[in-house]
Formats: sequence, structure tokens, C-alpha cells
Amino acid sequence: MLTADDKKMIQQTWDKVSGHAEAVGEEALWRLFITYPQTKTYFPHFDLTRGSEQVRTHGKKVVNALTNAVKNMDNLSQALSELSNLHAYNLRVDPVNFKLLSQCFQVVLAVHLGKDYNPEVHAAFDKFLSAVAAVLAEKYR
Amino acid sequence: MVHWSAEEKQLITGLWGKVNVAECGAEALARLLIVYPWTQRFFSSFGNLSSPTAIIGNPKVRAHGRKVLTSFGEAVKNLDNIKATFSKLSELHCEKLHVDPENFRLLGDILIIVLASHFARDFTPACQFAWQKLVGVVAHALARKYH
Repeated sequence: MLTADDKKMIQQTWDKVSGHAEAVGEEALWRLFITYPQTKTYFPHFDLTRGSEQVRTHGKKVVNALTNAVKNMDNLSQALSELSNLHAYNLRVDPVNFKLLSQCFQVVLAVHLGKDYNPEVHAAFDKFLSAVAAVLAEKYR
Repeated sequence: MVHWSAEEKQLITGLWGKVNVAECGAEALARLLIVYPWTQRFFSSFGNLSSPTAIIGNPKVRAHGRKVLTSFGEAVKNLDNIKATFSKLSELHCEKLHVDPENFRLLGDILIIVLASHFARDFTPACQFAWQKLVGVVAHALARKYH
């Protein structure tokens, strides 16, 4: 459950990286594909080489969706309803991968924010990304 | 047996050489207890764990974190023999400590984030890959003797 303090920390943290949204998204995806190569199986139609335009665009898309989630933390289910449908009926990405991407996003945040990604912010973010993952998997069955 | 490429070994031992085991260990354990509060169930004898500040400053947490990461260092020193290195510890965690192996995975992921925050750009994707592989292998070795 996200407390009021969690939400504040998440908002503040996200504000710090929103200027480099595209870079953050790209790096998270890049780390995902390198650290967990099995995730590439969901992108057979992508050029997955370093600097790929497709990965960059897709990273931006993912970050924009997270920005929307940050703006709607009180109502994630509704705000992410379309994405939830997409993942359940169309993409059908196995939900274990949401945790992997969450880990990669957090690594990117830790790399960029260093000490500022302190234990409390870390906890809040981990909770937030878990909540987002839960909503995305909500309609799977 | 796990296969490590020369590059992976270099990424692991190279980074480990720069790690302050006491600090990093303390931080990793504190984060585990803060980010996944249910893990506090194993530490009822540790005193005050009532807030992130209390956890971070708790001397028992710091000491134990250092102990855990020092032990983890044995894996780095014995990359080609991790299973045997943690055989006794695996039995201990099962028979005496009764720790669900899922906790090893949680701590492994936390350690990665601690390393990322300390080493920033030096914690490259290739580095992350090698280290995630390592924490996975260690978690597996620690779970291996469970019955």
C-alpha cells in the first residue's frame, strides 16, 4: 500500500529524472535485454543492437506510461486500464518479466541518483512498480 | 557447474576489489529489512527495527550485514566452486535458521541496487549481467541443500 510519504517520494524522484525520460527508458530496456536475455523473446521484430531507434522509442513509451502512473497513483487501475487490456489480451508478456523490468528501472535510478536513491525512496519505488505490475497483470485470467 | 567467461570473472572480481564490505553489507541488509519489511521476521532479537532510521543505525543490523556480505565474498573467491563453498551454509539456513530461499533472491536484487548506487556509470549493463548471474548462482547454492 502506498502511503502519502511514499507518493511524495515517488513524485519527487520521478521529477528528477523526467528531464531525461528517453535516456532512462532506453537504458532500462537495454539493461533488461542484456541482464535477462530471455526478455528479448518478446521483441523478435526489433533491432536490438545498441542505439537502436526502436528500443529508444519503446523506452520512451514505457517511461511515458510510468509518468502517467505517477500522476495517477490514487487510481492506477483506471489510469492503466488500456495498458492492462493490452498486456492481458494482446502482448501476454509473462508477469515475471514485470519484476525484471522493475529491477532494471531501479538500477537506472540508482545509477543516476546515487545516494539520493536512499532506502526509503528505494522502498517506495519498489512498492510503486509492484503496484503497476499488479495492475498490468490484473486481467490475465 | 556454472560457466563464467573471462570477462564475467573480471567484471565480478574487479568490482569486488573496490567494495567496502562492511558498509555495503550493512546497507544491503538494512535495505532488505526496509524494502521488504516481512524479512524482519528473522531478526526479532535485533532490537529496534521500528523505522528506516532505526534499522540503518542498528548496530546488530550493521554487524550482521557485514557478516553476510563477507560470506558472499567467498563466492567471489571461489567462482568455480560456489556449490561446495555454500554447502554447509545451505544446511544451516534450512535446518537451523528456517529461511525461505526466496529471501536469498530478494537480498541478491537489493545488493545489485546498492552496487548500482555506489558505482553509478561503472556499474555497466555488462557488469549488472555478471552480478545478477552471480547473485542467482549464490541463491541457488544456498537453497540446494534444503529438504
